[in-house]
Amino acid sequence: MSKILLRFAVLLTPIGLFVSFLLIGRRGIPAWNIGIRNVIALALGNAAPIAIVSYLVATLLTVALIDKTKVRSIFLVHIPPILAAVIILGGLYLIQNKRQPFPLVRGALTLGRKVFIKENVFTNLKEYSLLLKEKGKDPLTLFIYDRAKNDLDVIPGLRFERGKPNALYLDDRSETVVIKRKGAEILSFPYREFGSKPAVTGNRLVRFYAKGAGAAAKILEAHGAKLRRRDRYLFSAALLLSVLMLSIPLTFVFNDAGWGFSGLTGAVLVLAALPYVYWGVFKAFQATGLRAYLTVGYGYLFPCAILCLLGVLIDLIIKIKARR
Amino acid sequence: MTNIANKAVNAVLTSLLVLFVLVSAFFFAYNFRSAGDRYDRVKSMKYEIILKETLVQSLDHFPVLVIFLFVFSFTVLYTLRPFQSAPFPYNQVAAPSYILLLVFMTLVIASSFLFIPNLRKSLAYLENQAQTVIIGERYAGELNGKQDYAGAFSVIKILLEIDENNKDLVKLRDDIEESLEKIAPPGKTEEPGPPEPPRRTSGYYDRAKEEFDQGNYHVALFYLERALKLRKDEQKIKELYIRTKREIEHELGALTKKDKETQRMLQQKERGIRHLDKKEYYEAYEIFRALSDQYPGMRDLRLYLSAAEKEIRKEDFLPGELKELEWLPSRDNIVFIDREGYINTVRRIVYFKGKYYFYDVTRQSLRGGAAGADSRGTPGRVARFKAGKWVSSENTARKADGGDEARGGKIKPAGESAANDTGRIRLKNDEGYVKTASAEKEHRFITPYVGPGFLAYSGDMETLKSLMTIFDYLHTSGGLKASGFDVEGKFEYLAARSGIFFSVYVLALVLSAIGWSRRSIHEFPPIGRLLLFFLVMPLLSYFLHHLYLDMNAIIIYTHQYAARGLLKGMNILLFTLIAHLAISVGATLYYLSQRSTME
Repeated sequence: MSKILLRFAVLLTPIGLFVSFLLIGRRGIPAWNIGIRNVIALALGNAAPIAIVSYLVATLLTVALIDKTKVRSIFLVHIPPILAAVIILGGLYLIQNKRQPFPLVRGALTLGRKVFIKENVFTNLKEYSLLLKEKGKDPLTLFIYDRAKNDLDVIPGLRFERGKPNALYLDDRSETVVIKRKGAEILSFPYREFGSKPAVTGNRLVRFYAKGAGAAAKILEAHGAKLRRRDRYLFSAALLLSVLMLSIPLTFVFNDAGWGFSGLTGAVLVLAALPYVYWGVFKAFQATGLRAYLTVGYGYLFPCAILCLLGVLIDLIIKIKARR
Repeated sequence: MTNIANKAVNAVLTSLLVLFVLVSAFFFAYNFRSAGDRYDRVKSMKYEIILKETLVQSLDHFPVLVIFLFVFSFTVLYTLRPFQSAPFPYNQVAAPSYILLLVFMTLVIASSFLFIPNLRKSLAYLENQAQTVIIGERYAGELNGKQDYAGAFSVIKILLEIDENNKDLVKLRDDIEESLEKIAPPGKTEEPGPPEPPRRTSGYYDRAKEEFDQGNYHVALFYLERALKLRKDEQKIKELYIRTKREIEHELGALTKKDKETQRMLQQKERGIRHLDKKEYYEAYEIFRALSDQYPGMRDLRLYLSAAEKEIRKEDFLPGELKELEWLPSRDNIVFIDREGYINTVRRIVYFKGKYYFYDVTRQSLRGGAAGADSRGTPGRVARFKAGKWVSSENTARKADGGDEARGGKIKPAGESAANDTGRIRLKNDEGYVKTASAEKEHRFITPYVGPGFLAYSGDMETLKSLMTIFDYLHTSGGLKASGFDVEGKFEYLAARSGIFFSVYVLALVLSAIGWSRRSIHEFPPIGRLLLFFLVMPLLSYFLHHLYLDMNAIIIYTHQYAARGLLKGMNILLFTLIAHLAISVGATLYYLSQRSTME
């Protein structure tokens, strides 16, 4: 358990940064123009998923690197991770329960125009190029180049307040950058258009994985959204338990006493496959006649229970195989 | 080197070769499939394009390949039979592997800074050539259909220079030639253009003698006058000059009939030559043009006219030039700031034989006013020009053109040289050669901070950056920024690139050490687990490499905060290098701390 907690503590910061920048990228905000306070705010706002991911990686690394020859009971491998999960998530719940609503994946970002538009260089968007020209303390001039028409437009005396006639401001509700001239809105660009190449999600592998993880999160969120508040917590706990009960024995299977590195590759494979497994199981429940079970009593726990049972089954197979 | 060290080096090098071939084969198959019928019209270029694409992608993945190779070596390779014959100390594989890592890192650095950008430039050039052939063939077909055979023929001639073995083009050329022969009046031959003047005095004399012997006295006179300008005391030149003049005077008598008229013509010619000597080329051009129209038989006048025009064309052009090249592929919708403080837009930039042409240019002052369309312009209005051409002085233009041709330059920074930065864009509407007063020059010329090859990529920073070598970056990053391009400074660029090299170094060492500490003790690793290793580890190496690059980006990002406080004013490159060096020292110590025995 101490190894899990140590690895968890070490992994918390890099995974926190990774998740924060991933979320910034997914919202289409140019990551490297954002202030460090925003990154910290986002990380704190997403403390729960960051803690869960860090914990899962720490646990699987520990199981992958454990000396298989010294393990007496396979079931004992589960107890420390589950205990650690209870300690971490219980603490997290107690802290966050004071703040309502539960900020699961919400991050309050304070965005300014400098996040989107740098001064004195062109910001290239899909159809336009914008140039914000600074001139001492005077109001700025905005040059708008319309590529399709090869036309250059100028808005002098630009202010950054919504109420001004010539203005450039951010509309957080619609997540757009709005440009007004003489009081009339002439152009608006969604945030997404500015962050064409997010930093962390810049590589294909992460994008591919994030797509799968996003699909799994969506289906799980949709499942949880239908539940009452109390049931939602129960569902989250069951979900996490099923993740642990399934991934730990699977990782243990790949752990080879004669070749320690294969455990690591196994852990990576398990981590990579988990979102797809969960997406597949919940999709199967929703798309077939099994969905009827989800609405009866504690039926919403049914998919998690099946996955827990699958984990137990793998445990048993390992045990039987080891005895032979 | 010991036997084990030898074996280790051989094993690593062989594995690298095999892996590189496998990766290249994968990318080749992928590119071949995705190319589809895109290059079917230019079969001769298809394989070259695909091969270069493959090489770029393989080199792009070379850092990941090296990381994977090291994990593979320490986890699997060094545990196989050739290494199991007798126990050996860890340093016998660690030391040669470390040296090989340094060699591979040199390759990574060279490919990142030079090979890959240069290959990409060459690829961009090839793709542009292929595009030219595809568009040009269609355009020539259209002109042929409209019975504009001469136009179609000139297009086909350009295309055959690019792809001479293209059977479709050859067939189209033959068809057009046949049509041209049918409509051409019999016996009409094209009049030869003025001969190219030699560059040295002895060349002038020899050429004059040659022309004199052939009875071309006017041409001989032109060369002798040139030669006398350089060596007026040389007897043999003087003698031949007198003889030539005599012959011409005799001819002129027959041509002009009136002595007065002859005298006037000679005076005009003298005036023209004086203008040429004073480098007043526009004035000389006007005189010689009028004289050659009046006396078409006097070829020396045409030679003077072409000499004046050649000088004018260094700073001027005729808009008709652009009309002929309008069909060529281009880069569109360019916007940039120039040295005079104007914001310029260009609808299209076309490259042809070392020259850049600009279509539909607009200018507006960043200070609020506008550049004058004809002279000063009205404040608040945008000045528009139909045509523009990149012009530079004779020497720099020649260098730049030569460089372009040698490197196969196209719309790309490859053709850029320091000389090109001194060039500018001459703007025109529909007029002919027009001399601009120095006060007018600001409105008739755009002086950009960087060459046209860079300007062409104004809307596509990612492509531009991928095409730039380290030298391009060091030389032009300031100019690009001043042009309004969102590129990092040279230190930011070097800091960002350093992430690639340190990623290879740190990950290769750390993962190798982990691999060694948990290496296989089986005689041969279990097949299932080995397959899993091959399935997961390349992807994990790729992921970790990119994660390290992201970490590098975070280090660069934190510099702005560090430079405000504790490390006030510290250079970003130095800051990044210190951070990476600290990580590298840790990785090296961890790598060296491994032992021979299993833990």
